[in-house]
Amino acid sequence: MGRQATHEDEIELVQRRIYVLPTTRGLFLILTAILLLLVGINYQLSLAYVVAFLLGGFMQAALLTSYRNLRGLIIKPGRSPQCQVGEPLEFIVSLRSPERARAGIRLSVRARDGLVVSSPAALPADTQTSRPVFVNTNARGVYSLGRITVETRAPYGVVRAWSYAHFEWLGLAEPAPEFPVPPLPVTAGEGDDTQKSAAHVAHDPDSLRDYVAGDSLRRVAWKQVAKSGTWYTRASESGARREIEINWDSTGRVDEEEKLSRLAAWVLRAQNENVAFALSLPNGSLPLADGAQQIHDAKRLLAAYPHRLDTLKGLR
Amino acid sequence: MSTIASKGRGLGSMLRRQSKAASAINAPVTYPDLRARRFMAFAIALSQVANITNVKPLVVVAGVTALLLALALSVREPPRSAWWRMGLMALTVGAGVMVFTQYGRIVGRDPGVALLFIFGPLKLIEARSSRDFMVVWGLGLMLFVASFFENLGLVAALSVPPIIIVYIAALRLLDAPSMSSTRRGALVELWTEVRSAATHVLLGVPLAAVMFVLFPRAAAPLWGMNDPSSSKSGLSEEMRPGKISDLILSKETAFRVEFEKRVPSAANLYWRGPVLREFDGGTWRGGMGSNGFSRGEFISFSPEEHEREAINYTVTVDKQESRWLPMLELPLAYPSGPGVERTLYLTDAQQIGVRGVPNGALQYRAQALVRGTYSAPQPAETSVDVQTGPREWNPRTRAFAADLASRFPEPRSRVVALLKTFNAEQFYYTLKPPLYGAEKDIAAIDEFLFDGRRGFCEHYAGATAFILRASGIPARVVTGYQGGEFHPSGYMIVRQSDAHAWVEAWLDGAWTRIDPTAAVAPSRIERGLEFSLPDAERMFISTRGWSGLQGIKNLWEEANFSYTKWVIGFDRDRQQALLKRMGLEGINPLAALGWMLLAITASGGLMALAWWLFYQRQARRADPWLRAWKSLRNRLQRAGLATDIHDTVSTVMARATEKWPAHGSAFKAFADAYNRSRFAPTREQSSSSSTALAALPSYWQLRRQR
Repeated sequence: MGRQATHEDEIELVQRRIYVLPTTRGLFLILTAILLLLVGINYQLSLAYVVAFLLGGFMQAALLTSYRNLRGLIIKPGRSPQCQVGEPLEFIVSLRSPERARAGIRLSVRARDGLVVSSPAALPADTQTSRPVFVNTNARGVYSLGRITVETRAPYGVVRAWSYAHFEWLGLAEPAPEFPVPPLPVTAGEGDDTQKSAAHVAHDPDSLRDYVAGDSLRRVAWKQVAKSGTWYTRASESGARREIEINWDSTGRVDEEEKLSRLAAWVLRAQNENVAFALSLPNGSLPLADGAQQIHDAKRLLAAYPHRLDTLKGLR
Repeated sequence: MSTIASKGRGLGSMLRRQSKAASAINAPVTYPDLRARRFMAFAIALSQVANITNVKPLVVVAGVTALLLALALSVREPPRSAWWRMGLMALTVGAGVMVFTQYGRIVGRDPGVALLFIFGPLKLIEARSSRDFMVVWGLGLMLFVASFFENLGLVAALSVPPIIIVYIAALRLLDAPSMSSTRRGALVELWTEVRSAATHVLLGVPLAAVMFVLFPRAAAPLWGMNDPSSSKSGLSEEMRPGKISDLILSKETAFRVEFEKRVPSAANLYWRGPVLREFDGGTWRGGMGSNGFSRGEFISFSPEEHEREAINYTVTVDKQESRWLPMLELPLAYPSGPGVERTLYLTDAQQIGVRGVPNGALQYRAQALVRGTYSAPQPAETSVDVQTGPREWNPRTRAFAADLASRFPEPRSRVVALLKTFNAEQFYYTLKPPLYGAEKDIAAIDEFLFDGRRGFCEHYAGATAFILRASGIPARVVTGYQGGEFHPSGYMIVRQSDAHAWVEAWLDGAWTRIDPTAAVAPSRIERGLEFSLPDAERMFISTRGWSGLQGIKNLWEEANFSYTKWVIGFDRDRQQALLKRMGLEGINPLAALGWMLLAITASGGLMALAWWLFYQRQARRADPWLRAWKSLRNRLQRAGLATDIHDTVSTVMARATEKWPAHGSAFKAFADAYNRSRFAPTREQSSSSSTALAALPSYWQLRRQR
């Protein structure tokens, strides 16, 4: 169960996919009960039988409690996480508990470098909560979360009940930008005066336009806003909006990862210097634009290389 | 670049968080919080209390000290230094040595209990991980069960459920750190945990009960049970007048009897106990060394006699402390019962002995023929049955005996004459006799027979046996119980106050029972002790005083009896009998295992049902509108309308109207009614939730119109 990843939006833990087994502590309890039973048999102590069997009965009740702790729980994957290589990917899993309270629910994932476990979650009846699962990244690229083990040992620690939730769910590790960040690329055939050639001036130095939601606050013309009461945005930070083209072949590097690193550095610099850019990579391209969305899309594209984004299953 | 740097910091903290989370499950050895530690100490304390009378006082002191130490040190985690570890090691070894010096050995039952008594709290001092605490938990539970070696009574049985609940709750607290900061809040929290533990123990009871009934009982112990070297005395094997009066005043139940078909008459209810044969002039003794183990033979009887007269009965003893089992005179065969069959022997004085003193509850079935005599060869001149002690002692009695012998040369008539003397002259039956033979017993019997003439059964039995021996008739004192009181539910209770002593004389080739007390106070035998006493003394002995108290007592007796019969005495035979009655006759262990598996399944189902009923009730108690809303939301969800947990009623109803426009008005009506019930200034309900729900389309209607 759970070997096949599902593209569904949520999984409800039902009877046939919940497993229960005693933990070490549970085995210790059973061992104690057996010992007491032996004492009872040998010395014909009926009360020792009673205690041993009560422990046995309790063990069964604990088994059922742990099972019920998981049954009916609804697991929902969050968005596809994205991070720079080296940072952990934060897969946010949301848990919903219809009809009854649950306690001590943990999520774990077997990642490449070991078991990753979330902190335990307790849910009152009919509530929702979320727990992050952090997956380490050591190389740029696409990470699949794999199978999530949902488990609980509450409330006695004598029984472990667990189930699997396997979503098609990918995380993206972006390439680390090259450091020190290289200057933005020069348009082919011209000198290396980037100010003049790579980005051309689109507007008058002090041209203003009406503020549009989403414009960077750094570009708001505060003086004019204070004077007029209307919101204006400077068309360009330095008075001019620059536009460049970031190209897979213009990096001057041979190694693919080094290329990607440089591209990432350019994207970063473009972000910082507020330069609009167009990006073209073997696995997709972006038209000329600036702003947060463009940066995000560019990083996504860099991370996914060499996969085309639309062929990746599990981006949420 | 600032973004990168800050992300780096974020990464570090994330990694820390992650490793912390990972270590939480990869190594579940976390130190339980203070509450859990204290609760564990509490559980251990309960186990100790259950055993406090079963171990030697020094062991109690050591164990309690260790527990107090553990409690004091529980405030913080134990240190990891080598000194600490060595100190603990020294304490452990010291405890072992102390137990050895107290008991003379280190292996065996009693020293084992003593070791558990000390090692449980010692381990608690050292416990660091939750695994250590589990060891403490196991030791504590073992200690509790060890208390059953000594106490198997109803009180012990009643203590089982609360103590199990405490131990289960302790398990629960191990990984449930206390959340509350106020004292009151903490108490409420603890109570909730204990209640949950109790619920889960309760849910396990049906399975436990089935297992108890079906689990195959062994016919013999698995390994050798060692006899405690020193046997404690109950009904004593020594008799000096004055000793048994303590026993008589005790209204404790000695044992209970269930007769199967025939019930002997009150005058024949002689329960044979220790036979006292050695006499040194002052004290009668059982004669442990010389003849305790010489084998006797059961009395002979014909099949017709057996058919006509044999009495089948079952004796249940709460605490058998003597090696002699109380038997109705005279036994026909070895009694049978759990743990006794293989250790029984019959002496030549027709007493049934057990090799190891059970020191606990015991139950056995036995057969008897009501007889006062059993044939035996004439005791030899050197036999203990004829010795009278130093010749100079009790001269007046010796003279009386010689005179009797000369006047009645025929032994039988001599006995009759002696009993007549007791009956005719001024002898009194009393529980408060004066002291006789204050100085070394030299003239104790003289003083009783010729000066005081007041005494109870032991005085009369001792004096009679002495006179008979002095006049040349072999005689011995038999102690035991005489009589018994029928309990309303049909069985008989024999109390410690029914303790009695009588005489057996060897007449015409057979030991014959003679009860001199019957000659002095016939009602002692016919109607019980109470009626033979002067009014002033009767008050102290009466068990029949106040009717209300008697009712409670009867109830307790009855509970005790059924408990002993069905729990303590639930052995192989009784198990077979019960299974037969249930229609599972002749079940073999494998089939029993099958039934047990079935029981496990069934009890699982039962638990699920109990839970379901509980939640149903819970749901019924919930707000009706909320319930209606939840059920409607489920209905819509199943019909294909996606809803989220945070959607309000109005938004869901609006979306439902979009999807199923035909029912728009019903949806709107529900939303309005729901909101009115929630938010209207007056709490009056214009319509009930059920009618509002009924007005809505059913799941099938919604499916069709998709």
